[in-house]
Amino acid sequence: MSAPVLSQMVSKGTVKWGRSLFDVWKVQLLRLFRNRQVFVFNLLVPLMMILIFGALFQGKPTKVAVSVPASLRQLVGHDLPGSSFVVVNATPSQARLDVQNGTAEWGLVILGAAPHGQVGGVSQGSAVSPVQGLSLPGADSALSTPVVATIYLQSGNTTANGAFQAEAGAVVAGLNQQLSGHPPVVLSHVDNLQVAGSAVRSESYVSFLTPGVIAYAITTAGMLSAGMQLVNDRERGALRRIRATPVRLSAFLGGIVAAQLVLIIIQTVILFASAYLFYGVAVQGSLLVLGLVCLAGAFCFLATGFLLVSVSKGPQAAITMANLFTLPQLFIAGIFYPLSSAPDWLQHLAVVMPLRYFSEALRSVAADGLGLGAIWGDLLFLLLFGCVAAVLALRTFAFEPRGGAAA
Amino acid sequence: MTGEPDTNARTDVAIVVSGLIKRYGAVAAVDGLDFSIEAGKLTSILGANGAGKTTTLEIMEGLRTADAGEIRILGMTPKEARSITGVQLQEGTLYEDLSCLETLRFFGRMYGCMVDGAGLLSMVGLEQKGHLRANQLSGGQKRRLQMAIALVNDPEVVILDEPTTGLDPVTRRETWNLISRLKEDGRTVVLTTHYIDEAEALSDWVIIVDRGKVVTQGTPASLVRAGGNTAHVELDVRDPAMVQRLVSLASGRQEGDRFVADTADPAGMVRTLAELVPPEIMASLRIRSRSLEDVFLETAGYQLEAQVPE
Repeated sequence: MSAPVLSQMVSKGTVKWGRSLFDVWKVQLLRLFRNRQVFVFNLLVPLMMILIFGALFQGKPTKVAVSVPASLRQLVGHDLPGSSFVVVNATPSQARLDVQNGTAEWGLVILGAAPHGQVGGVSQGSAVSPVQGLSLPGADSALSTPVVATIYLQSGNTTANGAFQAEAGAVVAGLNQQLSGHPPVVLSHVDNLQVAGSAVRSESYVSFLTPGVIAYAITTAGMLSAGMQLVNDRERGALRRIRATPVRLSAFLGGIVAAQLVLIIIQTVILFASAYLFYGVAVQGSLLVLGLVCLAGAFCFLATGFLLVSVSKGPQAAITMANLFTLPQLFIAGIFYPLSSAPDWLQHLAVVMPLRYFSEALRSVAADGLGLGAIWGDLLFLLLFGCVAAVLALRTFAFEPRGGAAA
Repeated sequence: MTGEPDTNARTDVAIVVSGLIKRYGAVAAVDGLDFSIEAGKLTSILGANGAGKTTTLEIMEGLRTADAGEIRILGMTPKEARSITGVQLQEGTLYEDLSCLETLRFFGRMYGCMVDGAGLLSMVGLEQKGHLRANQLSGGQKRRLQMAIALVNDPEVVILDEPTTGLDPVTRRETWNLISRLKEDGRTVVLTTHYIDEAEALSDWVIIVDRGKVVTQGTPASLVRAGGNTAHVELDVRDPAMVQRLVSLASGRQEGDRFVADTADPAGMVRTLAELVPPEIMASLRIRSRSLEDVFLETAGYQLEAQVPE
């Protein structure tokens, strides 16, 4: 060893709360980005959940073999939405065969013809002369050639068949209206209603799932990522060494929380962006409100994670406690299914689960486009839960493993 | 054995420990400890495992609170003195995922200091390891990094808990040099160690504790000379009965099949042994200067043996 002068290597200053917090934040962020487990559990796992469940349940365009007289093709084309159906033109017998051999999910065959020179010139909404031979309710005159619509369904897929039947029914109804020239007597209108605290949603499963998975990802980031790093540091004695410095506990923990928040922001942006890129799931509500919800959830679960670190005797105990806290919530708090569809006893159980309020609030903003007025109750629960956990964590925080004693 | 040798005139006191008591349940790890540590000197606290030395240091470092009594460091409580105290703990203390340089800069900031990390690493012989993470260092290198952390705030008081444990002999000597330089800079150094030769070589003052109490203290030389005995005689004999006979006749003690005695007159002791022991049962005879280790074994060592059956 050489003999340099120690006092020349150290430029002394004073310990300031904000500066200490910033220094802890910097180092903690560096450590988080170096931790592969953080990458796997906070980003990769939730991303896979969104992608895999999305792929499983996302409604993909369905192939429909359609046989329609040339004179009616344009009308039908208006009514089968391209986002849901890939229309394949076929002969009547081919359409039936396509459904039978699975080439197409459904078939729609319309037999009959409109008078030449009339339908081709008809625009949607304009009056249409009656087609000779078309026997439709309310038609002014009998048609010589009735139009018959046949729908081919694959047996066994009852729910999906119902959905297609509705679409095909709409096509036939549209044809009836346009060919008969009569305006519809009954108009239908779809409205989403808020029922007993949970929305009746018309969006796809991915748009339902994404906010829930992100809420769960933030939960595990708060509970396990920061918490486990802290409990490991405590086990290795690094926290004891920190305690021997003049830095204040609040600045130290504040720096850890701030670093974790950065991670959570990055995680949330990546997950929402992935859901948008892969499945077109866009955030419907205000990004500011969405950020507030994420912060409230992060605060709640970081505080709870710190509390578990404070009271646990070691890493294994901390992992067990964190899993006992989060896993039941994953399945009960309405991440994968609407809580309103769960049995009453499960819904009652979910009342005490913060993840339920977090995922509901996030979903209300991200999927339903609701504002603060609709989610203030959820936010209040998260903040209260977080405050209680934070106070208990600060009171019980231990810099060294519980039960340890020096000689 | 208590009391201070009269050769020790002490002036400027940096640390005062008075009436210190710390209990873990029914066990008193520190049981009314009283001593003071002179400024700018190196003081070693020696004791067997469980004697209470680490607990005392941890109270001094502000990591534990005493049940009774107090410690003042340059007139401050340990918590108040954290910014002027450098600490090397006995175990752990490293962020395994930070490099050596990052570690030193971070801990420097925790004291509000900007640190020349490369210079500090050079001081402890880790100049080539700056970019290695702590989990890539050997045990000895980790100890040296911990030593460097103890210096990031250019401390007035340095507390080192077994700083050379796990080091190879060469690195151990280099660490001794570093510790000596800290003292020469005018810093107050408090050291615990299980290597009695280390304490003897480095210390200006030695405090031996046992069962949470001070059993003796003084300069290493004064402790060795205490009672006037300067030589240590060891005689191995082939007849255990003879060892017991020598203990009663020649004023010594038994250590297994060995007769051991400290004496101010080694020549006289050898003559006595030669008269009492027939040459055919005499296996070996060794005479050397009395050391601090002999003092330690006489004070804390015997009492440690007595604890074993418990």
